[in-house]
Amino acid sequence: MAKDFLNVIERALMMGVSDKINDNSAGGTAVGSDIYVFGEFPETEDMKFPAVVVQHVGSGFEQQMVGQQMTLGGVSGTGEIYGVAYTIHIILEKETEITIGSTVYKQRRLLNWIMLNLANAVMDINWDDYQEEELDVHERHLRQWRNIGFMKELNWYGASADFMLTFSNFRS
Amino acid sequence: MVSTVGLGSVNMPKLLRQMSHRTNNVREVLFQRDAIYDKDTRTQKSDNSTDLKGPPVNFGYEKSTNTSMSGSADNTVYHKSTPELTIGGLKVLQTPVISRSGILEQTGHRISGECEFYTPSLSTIRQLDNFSETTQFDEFESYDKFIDMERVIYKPNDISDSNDQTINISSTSKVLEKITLEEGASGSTYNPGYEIDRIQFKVKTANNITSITLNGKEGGADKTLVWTATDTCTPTDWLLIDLPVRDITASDTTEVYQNGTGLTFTASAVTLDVDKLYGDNNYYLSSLIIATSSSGSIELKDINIYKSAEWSLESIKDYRDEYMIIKALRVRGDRTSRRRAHG
Repeated sequence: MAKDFLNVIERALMMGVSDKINDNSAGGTAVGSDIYVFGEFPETEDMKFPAVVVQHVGSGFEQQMVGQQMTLGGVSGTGEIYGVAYTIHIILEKETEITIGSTVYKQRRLLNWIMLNLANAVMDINWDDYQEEELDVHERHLRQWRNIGFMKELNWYGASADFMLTFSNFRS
Repeated sequence: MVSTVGLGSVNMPKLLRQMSHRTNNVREVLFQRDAIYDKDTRTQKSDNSTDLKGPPVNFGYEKSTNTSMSGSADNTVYHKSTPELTIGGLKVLQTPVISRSGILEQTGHRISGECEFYTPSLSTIRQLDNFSETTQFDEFESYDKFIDMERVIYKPNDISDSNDQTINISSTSKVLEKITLEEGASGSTYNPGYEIDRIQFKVKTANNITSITLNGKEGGADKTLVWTATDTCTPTDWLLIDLPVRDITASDTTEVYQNGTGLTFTASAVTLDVDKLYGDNNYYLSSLIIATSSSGSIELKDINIYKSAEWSLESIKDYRDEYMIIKALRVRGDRTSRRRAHG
């Protein structure tokens, strides 16, 4: 049977991003100044800012090997390289403020900080810390942040970026 | 008795009461809101010991548990157990109504409908039985449901001490009453069941209601659906019980509200498929049994075995202390002829 890779990766990605970007000791947000990570789009009652929304936008076969032979954790089986794509959104309200070190960040300054630190977080995730089943992640690519700006109707600052990774879609 | 506080210039409860003598468009609907389950969250790394920095990560989807969690400690999750709300006896005026509108779509024939409900003001509704007592109800929300009796299929006689029909329960069988259903539409006594969706009745007894059983025959064999009271249900005052009978699987639960408290009923035996009961001598609905904990008097009234219409609330116009106009959509309509044909 194939493992539940898409759920394991999505959950690990969300945990990893939240754990890293909120890690005060590693230059993240101050204690009590949390950034909230959500899957897909949260219900409005759950929404807290600043919000990071991980939206799964596509997935499928990336590459097949000759004979489909693959090993994972010393076990031989069949499989392919599978790709999964996310769009990661950052949303913050005009009045949202976060303390970084001892400085209060708001608005565009906060958005800039989250964009860079979120990019660092997704690239630095150690999957072993967050995977609920064994994973074999090969590559990860965060493309440029886009739609950076202010939505005047909602008083929201925001930005979005596409993120994709590949993993061994192993089944024995 | 509803208080007169905030009745506004239109006394909707009185108006509805008076209109109900002249038109069946005044309905007594069952208010229903689905249970709200715990969200799937994670507070620790995959080693299950190291706390994640920052707040709990909310994956956004629900689990199948509905457990209260205090969320008091740092990096913990809050949830207040929120079972489904099912509160009957809400009097509303339903008009205009598009009962059924059929559209042939890629996935099949979809039956929908549309209507408006005129209801008393929210402040009045919040003073009604159960609505005033449960802490779960604040206001109507979109996607709440009104369940209406589209057609009453069987209506057994009341069993009432004022109607010299009080039944003494056998202390050995604990079965109160076996209600023989009325004749089927064909004139036979083999009553079809494919039309029915729900059972509703009002009950009053000093004993506990232990189970409600709907019996039938499929292929000549006895089949049954048993709703067993998981919580103690003692209706010393009139209690409205409304239970689904269609597409039930064993261990499904439903709630009956008494004085604002949800009492859980669990489907303990499910072999009956009402869709297959088309009404001949081998496929028919036979009896409804309401069992209590011991012998003693009991009263039953307004017993209705009915085809329901499920209205999903879409938009709510709130005229403050006057009344509300609620636009509702019927999204789960189906064709009774297909139920009979395909089972």
